Amino acid sequence: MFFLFLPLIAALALFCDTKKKLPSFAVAGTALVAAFLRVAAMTFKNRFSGRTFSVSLGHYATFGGQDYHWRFSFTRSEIVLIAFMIFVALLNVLFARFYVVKEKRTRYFASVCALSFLMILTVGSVNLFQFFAGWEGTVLISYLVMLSFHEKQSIRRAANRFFVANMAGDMALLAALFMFETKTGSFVVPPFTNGAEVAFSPLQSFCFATLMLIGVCTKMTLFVSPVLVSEIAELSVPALAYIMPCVSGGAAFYVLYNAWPFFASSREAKILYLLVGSVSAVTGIGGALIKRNIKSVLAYLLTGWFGIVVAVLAVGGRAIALRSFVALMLPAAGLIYSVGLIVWALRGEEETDKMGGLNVAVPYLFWIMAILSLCCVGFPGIGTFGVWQNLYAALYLKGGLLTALVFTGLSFGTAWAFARLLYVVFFAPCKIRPEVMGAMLKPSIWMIAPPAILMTVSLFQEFVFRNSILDDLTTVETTGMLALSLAGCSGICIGFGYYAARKRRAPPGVKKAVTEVVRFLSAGAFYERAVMRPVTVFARIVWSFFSSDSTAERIPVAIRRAAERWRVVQSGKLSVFIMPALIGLFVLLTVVAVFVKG
Amino acid sequence: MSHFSPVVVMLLMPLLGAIFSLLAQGDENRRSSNAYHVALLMSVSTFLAAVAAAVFTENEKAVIFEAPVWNVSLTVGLDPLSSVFVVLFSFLSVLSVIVTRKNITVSMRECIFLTLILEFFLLFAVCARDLFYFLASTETSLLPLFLLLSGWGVEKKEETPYRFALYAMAGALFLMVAVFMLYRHTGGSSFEDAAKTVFSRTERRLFLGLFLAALAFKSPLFPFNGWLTDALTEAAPATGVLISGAYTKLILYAFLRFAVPLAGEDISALSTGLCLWAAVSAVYGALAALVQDDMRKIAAFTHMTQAGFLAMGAFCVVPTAQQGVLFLTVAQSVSMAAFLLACGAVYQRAGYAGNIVGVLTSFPRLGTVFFIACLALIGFPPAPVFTGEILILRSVFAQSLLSTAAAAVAIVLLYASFFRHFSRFLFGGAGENTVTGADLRWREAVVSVIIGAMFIYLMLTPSGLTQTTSDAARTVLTAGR
Repeated sequence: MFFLFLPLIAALALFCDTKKKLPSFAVAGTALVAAFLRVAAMTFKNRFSGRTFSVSLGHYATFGGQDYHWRFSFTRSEIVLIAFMIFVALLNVLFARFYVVKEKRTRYFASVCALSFLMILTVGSVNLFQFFAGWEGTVLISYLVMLSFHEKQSIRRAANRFFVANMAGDMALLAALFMFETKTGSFVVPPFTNGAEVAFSPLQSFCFATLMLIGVCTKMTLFVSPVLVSEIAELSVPALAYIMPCVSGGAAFYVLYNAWPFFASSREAKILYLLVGSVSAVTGIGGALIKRNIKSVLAYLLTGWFGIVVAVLAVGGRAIALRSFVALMLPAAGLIYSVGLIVWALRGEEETDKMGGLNVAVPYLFWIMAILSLCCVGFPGIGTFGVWQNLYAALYLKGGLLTALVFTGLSFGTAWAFARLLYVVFFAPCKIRPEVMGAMLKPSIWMIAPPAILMTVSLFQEFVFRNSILDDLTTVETTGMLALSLAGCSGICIGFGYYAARKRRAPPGVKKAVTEVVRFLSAGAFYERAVMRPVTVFARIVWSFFSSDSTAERIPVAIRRAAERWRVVQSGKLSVFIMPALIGLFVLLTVVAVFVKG
Repeated sequence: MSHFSPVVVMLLMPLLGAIFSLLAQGDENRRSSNAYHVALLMSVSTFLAAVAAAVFTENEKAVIFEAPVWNVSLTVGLDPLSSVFVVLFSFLSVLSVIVTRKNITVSMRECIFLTLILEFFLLFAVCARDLFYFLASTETSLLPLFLLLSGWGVEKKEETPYRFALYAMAGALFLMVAVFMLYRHTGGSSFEDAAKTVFSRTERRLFLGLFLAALAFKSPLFPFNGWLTDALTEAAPATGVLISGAYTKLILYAFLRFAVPLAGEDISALSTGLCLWAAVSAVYGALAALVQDDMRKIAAFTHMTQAGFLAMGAFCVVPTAQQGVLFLTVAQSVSMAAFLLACGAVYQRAGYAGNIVGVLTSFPRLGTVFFIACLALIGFPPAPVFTGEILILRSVFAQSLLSTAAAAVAIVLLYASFFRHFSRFLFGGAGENTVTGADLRWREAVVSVIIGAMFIYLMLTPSGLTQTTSDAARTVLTAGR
């Protein structure tokens, strides 16, 4: 397991390299390649011999008679998640080598390596202490990445809000894990608990599921999360591409995946998950349709996909949720890199209103983004089509036709949002400022490689899945499923046609309505008004009432004056005063003690 | 029982160090230097002796003197409970002495003398095996602290030491009455006699009430916290370390030593209400921290929040909670020491100005140490404070959901209060003037390494401490039976 520690070693080395003497790209790249090869080896061993991995890294402590160890334990799902995360981290380092300015590159590579190790620590954890070390560590590094790359106070405030909201969610997660502890008597976390010991009542199951959902909602920026997606979108492109789909989303999904068996029998919990997931998906799609910042559009789409994954978990179970998570997040990361290339080429321009006509300048980017978009919505004949078909089948089998139709609608909305994005960036009349157009940068082949690789993997995802260690899904390949899948994908064609044929912008009323709905469902503004402001006001009232200054005023004047005089006396000859005072007090108390004893 | 024990040697060392440091002669510089080196030698020796005593003299006692005519004997000793506190106090004293050298510029010899005297009384309080000697040394420790606050306070606020003394003496009064009540009931003053006490229900409640009042004033809990903020912001960092890490923990030691074994049933019966009070105290501390702009004040209120957690743990009379209390005591004291020292270093460079920005930009190393100290203090996983809080919260969770929820709110508010300021404090805003000065000095680096080593031990493999705290918790819970 030494290779899994290499990202940590690399991160520490790069963090300490304040004079920037180390070849940061080589250090980070080597560490991540080594870790990835190790995980690949684990995948093969698991594929061919069904082997799982568990290594003790040392004794931690004993609490309540139970021993806890630092340990890496990987079963099948953990290996898949780690492989996915390290793979994207590797591409991220490659991309950031050209994207991130030289002065900040070392620190950024250190952050990516640290995040990778912390994800390994989280996913491989057996007990609560290790789990939280990794889980919170990812939040901290994400927070530091947000702070280090921006000097705008608004973004820093957003970073603070992101951090504190995560902490609030983690308290709910902690409460859920305490529920486990009351049943098992130990701080061992799922999936390593003995399932037979954890027999929740229906109410407990629902509470557990709710706490888990609150715990992950900030990381996935779901409906009840107080974090504004547009604020998260302020992250730099490489950071956004790694943190949102892989680190935050991956860790959160890992938690839900393992918690699922403990509330799978609760109908109410499933309804809650379905509702939150669907509302989040609608919010995400709505946000993507109205936002003009290209990164915000993708961030909202990601939120929508997280919502879809949560809803899929509720309806279809965890096997299908895992598959849809990986199927969506791989192209999502590729899309973010592609958007990063556009932003980079246009020297930091992020507003879609100031783009257009880029199909001439960077046609290959259009094709990469178009294929990745089609992969995201499961267009027939390419990579993720099979996954989506299976998804519809499972949804139909377990949730009925209505559920399948709802997901078709969500898929259609997503496809429509893609159509809008592709049209305004590549085919709308060019609105790029002439000076930007003239100085447009040409991405190198190494910068194009990450989205191109992700596109290729996404294209052949079905083949990869079929031969992977993931469980096979029960599928019903009927004409109905094919029709649903096609209906979902048709949004991209219809949307494209709509935007191409449109003569003028949508009526302002429609746009305003959508904006209001998204703002309401995002909960960020609501959180600001309903939670943060009252808490701060309450804190100020409490403070002004009980502050020490006001307490001091309540001390009688005579005592205060006497005390002041005493101070004047003793402050002059300190060393003379000390010894008799000390001896005197000690002797006095001793004498009192002797006297009382008789 | 013998007349000699490593415990006696350990107790004598700070006393000797104090006397020797006072004998240091020469001009101001030389005197200070000599006093400092004597103090450093003696405090490090005391710490090593404390560790040795804690490891090798399990439940050993030594009689320092006996006067059968007066029925008086001065007995000292260590059991698992006092071992935890002895090692902690001596460790904090070492840190305190080291940083005194740079922080104190006037009358350093006297300052060091008082620090060592304070250490002596603190150690004596937890080693004493007699009620009255425990009480005497606990209350006498107030005096050096008062003098340290009034003579070497950073902003020379007039009323701070007196306010501190007033609250401390109020707490002392309750403690004294409780101890006298115990003595009156048992007729003996040794801990063995005290442990055999059987109170009536009313007496038990009264006894518990007195201890609760003492705990509320000295720990402190809401609404008896008026002294804390000013004392911690006014005190020099070295003194702040001892106030937060040692002085306020003495009452906790007393509570675990006497109140839990003798009134455990009543604590259990009232635990829902008591835990809620402690949780409210924690929430108040966190709320007050939220509206502060000065990092030192935030630290002071963080202390209060964590005092609430400690009290919550002490009110849950179950092994996990008691173990959590002891673990958190150690973790919080060390973390607070790290924070106060780092914060003191930053504020010293800024001339104790209120609005400090861009620490990490101006002092990369000191800023990093400060940031890590902050994370450790608020219990960011895997910081040891987190482990202690988990153990306590888990026990409270089984008893009172409301208190657990309040405690969780307190934790989140605490994070909010720190992270509200981090971005500006650490990185600074565009165009803002940042603090300037030398980065981490070698003495500060030494302290950072010492505390860092302690953190790494507590974070990665605190088996030794958990074993000791487990034994200590057992001692607490079985003492009255």
